[in-house]
Amino acid sequence: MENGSDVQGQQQHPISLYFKVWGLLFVLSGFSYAVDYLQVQGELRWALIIIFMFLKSYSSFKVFSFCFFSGKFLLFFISGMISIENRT
Amino acid sequence: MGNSAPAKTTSVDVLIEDWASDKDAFKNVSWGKAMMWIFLLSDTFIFSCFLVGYMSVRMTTAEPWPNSSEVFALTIMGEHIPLILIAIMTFVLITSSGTMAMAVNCGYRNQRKQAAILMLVTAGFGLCFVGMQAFEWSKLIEEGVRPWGNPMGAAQFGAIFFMVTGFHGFHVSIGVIYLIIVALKVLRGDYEERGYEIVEITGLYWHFVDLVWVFIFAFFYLW
Repeated sequence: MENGSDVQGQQQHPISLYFKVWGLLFVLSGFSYAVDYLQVQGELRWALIIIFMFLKSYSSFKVFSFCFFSGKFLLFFISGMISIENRT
Repeated sequence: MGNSAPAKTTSVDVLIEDWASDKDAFKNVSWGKAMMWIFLLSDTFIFSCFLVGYMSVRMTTAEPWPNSSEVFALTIMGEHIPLILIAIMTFVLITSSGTMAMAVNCGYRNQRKQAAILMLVTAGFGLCFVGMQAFEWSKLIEEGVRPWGNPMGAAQFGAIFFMVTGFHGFHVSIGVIYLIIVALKVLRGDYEERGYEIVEITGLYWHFVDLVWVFIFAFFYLW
């Protein structure tokens, strides 16, 4: 019957954590931009771009969409695959 | 929900519990969230295809690829700054991610007015982003960039640019509409009884669109 309202919403982060991640994302984006602004070239450029990209996507999803790494995403993915498999 | 199951620790345990009980699956997951994740998963596939296609094109073109640092440079107050518009767009989108996260937080604390206002602020940042993208598009079209060719180099540059940023911009535009609709419903009190999970579901979409931008920024604009 009624579900969701109490089960969900427990996984909350304090507001201060949001501000920290927010600041972190700003700094990381600044670094990403600096790679181009300072015209870093060659392998160092690609390495830095990839590192900042992963740090940004990781911190953003870890905190802002917190179910990503909590196993639920994995759960959705695997069970989705299983249901598709079972149909045939 | 009268299961006396012990507290589960790993996702594999949850998976087995969910699918082995001869009943409905996803017992502790609301359908709205599950559907949004499945949609986002399919969207991930689409954007992955675009980015992988872009990479293979970029590796195989014989002509030199246009220097994005120069293509997207702007002259502001006599100062020639490379890639500045894209950097501003990135910061706008990150800011909107922050306000969205705070909206979700307010929603779960049942502060519906604050949640709605923060969602509208998020939508405003989204609009700002789309506006800057429209500016960028018109600037490039003016400079002669077309999906089938451009004066700066490899013809595929235009095709990739319009397809990838266009598809992402379309996602942002839809997100803005989605945010405004949900925000107005939240403000009206439609979710007082059901709870404010909808804000989080909207947030999942929004954060996903932001995440895609992180990848586009890295692979298309910086590379």
